[in-house]
Amino acid sequence: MTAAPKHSLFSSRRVLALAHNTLLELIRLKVFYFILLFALLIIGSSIFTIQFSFQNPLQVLKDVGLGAMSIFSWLLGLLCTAGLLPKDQEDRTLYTILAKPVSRFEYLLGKLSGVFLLITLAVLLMSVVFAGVLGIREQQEIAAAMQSSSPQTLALDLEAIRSAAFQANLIPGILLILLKALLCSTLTLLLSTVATSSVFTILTSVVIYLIGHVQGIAREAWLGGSETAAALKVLSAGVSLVFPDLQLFNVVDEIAVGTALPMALFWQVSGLGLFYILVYFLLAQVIFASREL
Amino acid sequence: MKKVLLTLALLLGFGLVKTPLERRLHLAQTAQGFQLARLHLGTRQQLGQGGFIAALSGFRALMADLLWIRAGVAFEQTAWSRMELLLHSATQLQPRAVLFWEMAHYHMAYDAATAMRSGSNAAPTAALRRKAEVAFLRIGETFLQDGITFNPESSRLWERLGDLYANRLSDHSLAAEAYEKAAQLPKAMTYLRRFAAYELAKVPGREKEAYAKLRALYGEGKVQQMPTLLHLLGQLEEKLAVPQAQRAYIEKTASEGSEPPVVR
Repeated sequence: MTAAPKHSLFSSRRVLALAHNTLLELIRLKVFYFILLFALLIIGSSIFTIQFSFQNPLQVLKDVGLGAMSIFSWLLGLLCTAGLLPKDQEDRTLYTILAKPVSRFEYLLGKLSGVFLLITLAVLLMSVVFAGVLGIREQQEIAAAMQSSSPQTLALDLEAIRSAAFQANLIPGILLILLKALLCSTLTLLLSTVATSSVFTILTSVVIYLIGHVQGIAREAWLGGSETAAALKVLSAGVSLVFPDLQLFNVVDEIAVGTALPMALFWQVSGLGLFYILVYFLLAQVIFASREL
Repeated sequence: MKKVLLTLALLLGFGLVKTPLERRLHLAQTAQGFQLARLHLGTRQQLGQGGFIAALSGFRALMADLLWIRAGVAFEQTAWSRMELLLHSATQLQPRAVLFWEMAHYHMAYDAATAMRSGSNAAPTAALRRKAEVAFLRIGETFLQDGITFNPESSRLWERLGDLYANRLSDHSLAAEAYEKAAQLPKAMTYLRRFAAYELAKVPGREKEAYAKLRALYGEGKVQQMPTLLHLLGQLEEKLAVPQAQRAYIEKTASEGSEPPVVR
C-alpha cells in the first residue's frame, strides 16, 4: 500500500492554477473586451478630439489618456470582481473547488490574483497605446515646429514639445493608477463576501469609490482643528476611519504637468496601497471563512 | 448582521492605524506640489453636477481641460466675463499647470483689456473704457499672482508678471522686482537679469542702483552687451555724470573705433 500524498495547508501552485483559470474565464467574458476596446478607442481617438482643444494639445491628450486609463482600469476591476463569487456560486463551481483539498483562503487569493493579472494586462495594453498615440502626436508637433519656428527658437520649441510628450516620469503615476484599481478590486471582493447580489456589490463599491476621493476632506474636518460641529466631527471621523483615501493615489495629473514625484513619496504611497490591499483581503478572508455556503 | 458589525469593527480598528499614515502622506504630497486643487461652489456651477462628481472622483485634469475648451468657445464669442469664470475654475482644478495660468493671464490682461479699450462693445467714455481695461489688467495680474502661489518655482510666471508691469501697467519698480525674481529661479532665461536692470533704469531715484547692475552685466562680456544695455548705460552715465575715464560705454565704442550704436 502506498501512503497518500501529504496535503499542505497552503500551496502556491493551487493558487496559481486558480489565478490562471480566473484570468482565462475573465478574458472570455464579453465585458472585458467591451471595456478594453472602449478604453483603447478613447485613448486612440483622442489624437483627433484634441483638435477641439484650446491651446496645449499634448496636455489635453495626456489628460484624456490618463483619465481613460484610470476610469477603465477601475471599472474593469469592479465589474470583474463583483461577479466572481456570485457567478461561482450560481454555476456551482465554488462547491466543486472547495470540495477538493483547496482552502477558502487559497480560493479567494487565486480568484483575486486572476483579477489582478487581468487589470495589470489591461493597464499595460492601455499604456502602450497611450505612449504610441502621444508619440505620433509628438512627431506631428515636431514636424510643425520644424516648419514654423525660427532658428533662434527652434531648440526651445522642440524642448517644450518633448517635455510635454510621454516621459519616464509618467510611469510611477501609471503604476499608482494600477495600484488604485487593484485596491478598489480588493475592496469590491471584501464587499462581495458580505453581499448576496453582485448589483449591490457594484453599487456599494461605486459609492465607496466616490467617498474615498473626498475622504481627505472629512479627515481634515475631523483632525484639522477647524471649528466644526460635534455631530459633524463624529460623522467625519467615521468616514475617515472606514473609507480609504483614494485621492492619495491621484498624483498623475500633477506629474502630467511637470511636477516631479520623488521616489520616496512614490514608495510611501505604494506601501500604503499594498497595506490597504493586504488588510482588505484579510478581512475578506475572515468573513469568507465563516460564511455559510 | 453579525458579520457586517464584525467587518465594521475591524475596519474601524484598521482606520485608527491608517488615518495618521494617510494624514502624514497627504501633508508630504502637498509639500511636494500635489493635491493643491481647490473645488468650490463656483467650479460646481461651471461643471454641473456630473462634472463636479467626476472632478471629485479623480478626473480633475479632464474636467479642467473641459473647462479650458469651453473658455476657448467664450474667447471666440468675446464673452470675457464668462471666459474669466471658466479660466478661474480651470486653473483651480489644475493649479500646477503653468500654461493655464500663463494663458489665463494673457487672455485677460491683453485680449480682454484691449477689447475694453477699443473693441466694438467698448464703453462710451474714455474714463469708463480705461476703468474696464484696468479691471481686466488687474484680473490678469491676479491670475499670475495666484499661479505663482501654486508654482513658486516657475520662472516663466514671474517673467510674465514682469512683462505685465513693464508693458501694460507701467510700474517699472515692480517689473524690475518680478524680473529679478524670475532670473533667480531654475530654468530662467539669460535675458531676465538684463530686463530687471532695464526696468530699474526707468524708475526715478533708482538710477545709481540701476547703473551698478548694468555695469556689472556689462562686465560679464559680450553675451550681456546688447544694444539696449549699452544705450541705457550711456544715458545713465550722462545723467549721473560718471567721469569719462570710468565710463563703460565710451570704452567700448572707442576701442571699436566706430560710431556709437545708440543716440545719446
